[in-house]
Amino acid sequence: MRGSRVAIVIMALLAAPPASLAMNSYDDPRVILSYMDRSLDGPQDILRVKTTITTDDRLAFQVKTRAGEAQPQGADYILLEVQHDRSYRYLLPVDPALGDRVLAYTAEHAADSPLVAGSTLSQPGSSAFLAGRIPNGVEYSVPLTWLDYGAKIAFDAYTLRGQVLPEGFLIEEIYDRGAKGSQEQRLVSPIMLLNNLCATRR
Amino acid sequence: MLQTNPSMIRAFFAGLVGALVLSSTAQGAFVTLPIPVPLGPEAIELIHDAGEADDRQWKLVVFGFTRCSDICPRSVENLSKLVRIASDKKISMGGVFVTIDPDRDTDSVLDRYTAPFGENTTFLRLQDAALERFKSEFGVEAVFYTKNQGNAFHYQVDHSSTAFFIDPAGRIRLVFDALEDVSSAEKMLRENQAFFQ
Repeated sequence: MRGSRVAIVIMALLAAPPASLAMNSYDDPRVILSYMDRSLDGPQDILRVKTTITTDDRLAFQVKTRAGEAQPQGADYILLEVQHDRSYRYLLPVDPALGDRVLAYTAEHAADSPLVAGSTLSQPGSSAFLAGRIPNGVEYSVPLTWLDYGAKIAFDAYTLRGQVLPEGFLIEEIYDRGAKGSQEQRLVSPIMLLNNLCATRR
Repeated sequence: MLQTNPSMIRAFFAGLVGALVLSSTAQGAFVTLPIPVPLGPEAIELIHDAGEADDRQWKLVVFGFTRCSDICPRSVENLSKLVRIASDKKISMGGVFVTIDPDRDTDSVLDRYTAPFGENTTFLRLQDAALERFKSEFGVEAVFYTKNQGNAFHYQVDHSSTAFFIDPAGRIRLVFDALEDVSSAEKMLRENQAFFQ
């Protein structure tokens, strides 16, 4: 029992964040933290979605999944969804052997084209986003010129199984979502996102 | 008797991972906005009214509070330094420190706080809805901790350490970290004066 008390004291000390990090992580517009789900294979389990600004002035969205022994399934994808003036969806196969071709789709309103099993993404999207592989994940990026400062922005990521059909991309199963459990996506102004990304303290 | 349960442990590790992730994101950035972001008329008027009445004057804006012990003094010092460099380079520029804690930062407190930095560094004190509107133009958030009637002096406020260059037309042109990216801003003022014309 004494050991468990000591453990709790240590946990409490470790958990006390520095002042610059005291703001609730879950309110931070820069990042989505996702609960680890051991029932999923590593590449299917999203750990976080983090935004950053690259040295060539691009807004990057890094989707990181859990490392795992499991081999990527051919039909598995990492999808990034960005809500802005409309809904933008980008997909890259988890398996690098399938190449780095990015699939781009869009929707006027996310609610009109929900990301659920059985739905088909049919409206081709903008090619403004690039994608590249990072350790245990994918980085999507877009030039800062793409941002519309009059529209709010939110983002999320999904791991899913699906296939490309003549009429679009069929979502067969959704494994995980970055903001799973959140009530709703937090829409913020682009300047708020930039403000937070530029600051080392908040 | 103290007991642990799975939800406590999950919350602990989520918080710890969050802190680590945010630590790793805290790199700062110096961003020249490819498309200037216009402020609203109210914010433009407030900024113009702060400091010299010069329609050609750029403004360098930072947010903070006077009781901040570490971040804000450094960010205002850096603001003042950049304003001096601008002056040396014949760029009309005024520094504006915007308090996010107007309850305690009265005009006289702010006057004393900014006076040592010279006449080109001034302050802006807004309250309630006006402050919220102004902050939202810059995407600034502030969260108060332990601020209550019984704790008037020892409290902490989370806010970003970002600085903003505003052009004479009232548009945000540059966004950078007031602590880490000052050398980049200084270089810009010294070597790219055409940007500020």
